[in-house]
Amino acid sequence: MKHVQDLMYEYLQGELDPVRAKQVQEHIASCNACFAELQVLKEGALLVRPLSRKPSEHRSEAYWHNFAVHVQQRVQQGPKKTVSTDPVRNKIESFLTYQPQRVLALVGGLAVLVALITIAPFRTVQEEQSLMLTEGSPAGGVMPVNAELSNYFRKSKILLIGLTNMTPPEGQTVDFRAESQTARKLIQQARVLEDQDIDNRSQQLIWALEKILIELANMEDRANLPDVELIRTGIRQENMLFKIRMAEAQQSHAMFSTADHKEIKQQ
Amino acid sequence: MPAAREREIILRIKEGSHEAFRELVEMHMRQAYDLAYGFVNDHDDAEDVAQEAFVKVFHSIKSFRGEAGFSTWLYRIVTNASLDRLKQRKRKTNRYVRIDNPESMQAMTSTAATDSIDLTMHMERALHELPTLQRAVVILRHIDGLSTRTVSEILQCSEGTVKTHLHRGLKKMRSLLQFVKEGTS
Ligand SMILES: [Zn+2]
Repeated sequence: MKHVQDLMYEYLQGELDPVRAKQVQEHIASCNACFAELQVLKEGALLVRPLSRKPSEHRSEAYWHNFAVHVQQRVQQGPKKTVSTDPVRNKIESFLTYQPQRVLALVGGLAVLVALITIAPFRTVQEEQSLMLTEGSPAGGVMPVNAELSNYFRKSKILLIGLTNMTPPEGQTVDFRAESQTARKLIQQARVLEDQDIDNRSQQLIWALEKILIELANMEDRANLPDVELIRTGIRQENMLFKIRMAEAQQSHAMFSTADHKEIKQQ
Repeated sequence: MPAAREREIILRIKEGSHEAFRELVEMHMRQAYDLAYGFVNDHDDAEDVAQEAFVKVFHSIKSFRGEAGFSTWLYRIVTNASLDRLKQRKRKTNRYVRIDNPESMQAMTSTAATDSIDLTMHMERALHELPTLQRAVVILRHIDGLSTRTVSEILQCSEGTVKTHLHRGLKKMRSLLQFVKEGTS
């Protein structure tokens, strides 16, 4: 039987069915590596115990009585100040809501723009990266959701490609400040996107990306090769670059099909 | 809470019922608070994060389609809000550890402070030494006892990734706490 790391935690917690549990037990009895691993895991699991008193129990009944009221007050204050009190954004939103004809025209125009950007040939990754780093606030809020999503995915892709292509010299640290900063900006941009009505698949990709971005944002200014490698492994395991390319294709398809639709209607 | 009842409440919220929203908050507020506290290790921050998460729930409930169950969705929102908070905090102080809320201080100085309080404190501190994903997995899977599958849904990663991070996290916790144990006894 192969090693049983995958089942060890469940085994310790008594979550395995009897047949499985017996297999694990037998393997451990005959495998030193798994036996040692199990001991370490067991000690860790025993040391980290659920808190004897739940944090919420530190709060009074009166506190919990008012909790929902406070939430509702916050709801009424508006979702996020940066979104709701921005007059430009509000105008755009009402424009999007009440003038579907003009929205279609706008989207059509943007589709052309995006096509131009997409097929702009031979721009190297490095150029794009420096371009991205000097760009202003990502959460500008003047683009419709599709375009903003595309923009977010494109920037993320460039960041991840840069990371996968990075070849730091053996045993030396890498300056990570630029990457961390970009990751932070992208996380902010994602927050704004998540507040809007985006499709499920994009939402999931944003979440998956966010985990990598958070790791990146939390990197020390000078990272070691193993840290970089860990993030790269994450990117590979989750097949991130492929997923982003798919999402980009989906976004531009969405734009083009909206534009096509409009042309048909006009005829 | 029966799933049918929850679905009904969510439907009513989507139709704009504040009453239903309030009911939903009251059903899940302690759960959200406990989870947030596990991440941020501070009562004021836990309150803020949990409330913020519910505000987000209210505004994005229309996009909730119910494939994963409401709790999973809520957990994901609370987890994201908590990680966000930690990141802001780290940027401010450039340090994770901050055990300065009144209760911890009291626990530390109280003569009745027992080993178990001590260990809890060290445990909370050690948890915050873990990398973000390891910490999230240790909290959700080990401390909160959620299934590997649910955790993978909350964190949007594979079950294999959950297991890997759990092992690494618990091993690291062991080495961190072993040191504490030897140092204090
Ligand atoms: Zn083995």
